[in-house]
Amino acid sequence: MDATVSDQSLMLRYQAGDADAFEMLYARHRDSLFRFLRRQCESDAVAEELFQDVWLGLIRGRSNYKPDATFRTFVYRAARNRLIDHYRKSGRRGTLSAVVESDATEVVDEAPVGPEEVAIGEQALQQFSLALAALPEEQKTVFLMFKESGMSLAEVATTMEATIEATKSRLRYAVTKLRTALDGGQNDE
Amino acid sequence: MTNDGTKEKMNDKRVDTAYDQLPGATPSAHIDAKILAAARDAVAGDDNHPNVGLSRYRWIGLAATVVLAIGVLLNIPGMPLAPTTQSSAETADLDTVSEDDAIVVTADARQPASLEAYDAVTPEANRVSQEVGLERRRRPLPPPDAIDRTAGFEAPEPVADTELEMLVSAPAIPAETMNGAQQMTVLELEEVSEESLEALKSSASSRESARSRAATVAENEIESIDSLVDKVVDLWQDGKEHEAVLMYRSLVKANPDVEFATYEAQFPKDLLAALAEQTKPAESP
Repeated sequence: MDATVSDQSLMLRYQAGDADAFEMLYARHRDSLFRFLRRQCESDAVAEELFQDVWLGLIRGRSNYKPDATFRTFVYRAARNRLIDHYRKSGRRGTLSAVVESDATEVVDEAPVGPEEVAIGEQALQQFSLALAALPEEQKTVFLMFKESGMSLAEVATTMEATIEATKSRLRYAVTKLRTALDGGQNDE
Repeated sequence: MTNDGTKEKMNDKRVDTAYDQLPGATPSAHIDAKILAAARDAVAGDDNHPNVGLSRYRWIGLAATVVLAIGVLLNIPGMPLAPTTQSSAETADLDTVSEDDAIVVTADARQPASLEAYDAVTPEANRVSQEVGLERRRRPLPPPDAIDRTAGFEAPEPVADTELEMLVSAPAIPAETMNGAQQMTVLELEEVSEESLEALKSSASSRESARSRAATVAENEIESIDSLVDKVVDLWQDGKEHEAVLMYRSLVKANPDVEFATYEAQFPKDLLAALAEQTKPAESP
């Protein structure tokens, strides 16, 4: 299947009964969507449950999809709504600490070596992870959505149902806090 | 400013790099298979069952049809009659009506003169009695005590349907002047009368045909009045007084234009007395 086919076209084809179009869509957004969820959940199991709910909900509601919004907006909004439901049920916010503490060292060792990468040590990366987990929910969601989905700031704002200015402000605050964590807490916001 | 901007940009790059170095996360193969299977099943379900709600309605309609068919086949009360059963029932009812009404009116129809008179009206009268039989069949069974009383009657004798038509319009006779058998006869007579009226009123389309049939029957009856009056006298002389009175009264009622005084002049005196006696109480209430 042609990789240049838009997500909207694939979704419309899936609406019409083309299961291969869905597989293409799934392959495109599988990893990024799962990371978006995993970095806001406390465990892989919860992330997989939410991930499955999002896709099954999309399958069930395929007839409701309209090409007036991008597919990414559609699917990430659904993912965000699942996250909010999960937060309400569990009564607590997601955390990145478990992931960072267990895997950070190994991942750093496997990362490609470059000028910036060399500069980021293990301790700095752990600080970064903790700072990301500690971000306020809105800032963290905006940052992760912006990083993982590849959407523009305007699309993120649409998905978050917020103004562009508010979304930009949340993103800037999040980046500043993460940068401060990388610098070892020496920079002021 | 330039230095700050360069440093901020570099720091953003550092943020991106740090983020990219975070541990990767991917869903398990089990979740992948489950989601893709669900997607394919949903599409296949669309192909096989484009509208589940409609399918349910189809099942409901099918079930209702089956229940209706069973009800028709088993003749369950409240269900319509099966067409084949109805046609055979009409034939059966024709015989049944003749036998039942023979209980009501035991007239001697075996005399050759009477048979000749009845031949002309039998086809039309048969149709009417057929309608009466259908209506009667649809009505509930009489109570057990009524059946017991009927069982005490003598064996029915064949009677022409023309007499039934005449007796249908017979006026009520006071109960105190009758014995038990006579009261039953009147009850049956009234029942048949109601049924025949219901049958005639059953549909607007059948009214015209009923009127034409009634006109034909009336013409034939006028032609056979002489023989019927003779039959009344014969019945009276045979000791069947009640039947003779009933028959004569219904004959008079069915033919208001006929001058029966000339006939009554030939009647036996006791017959005239009986007619007069039964007329008085009937008029008093």
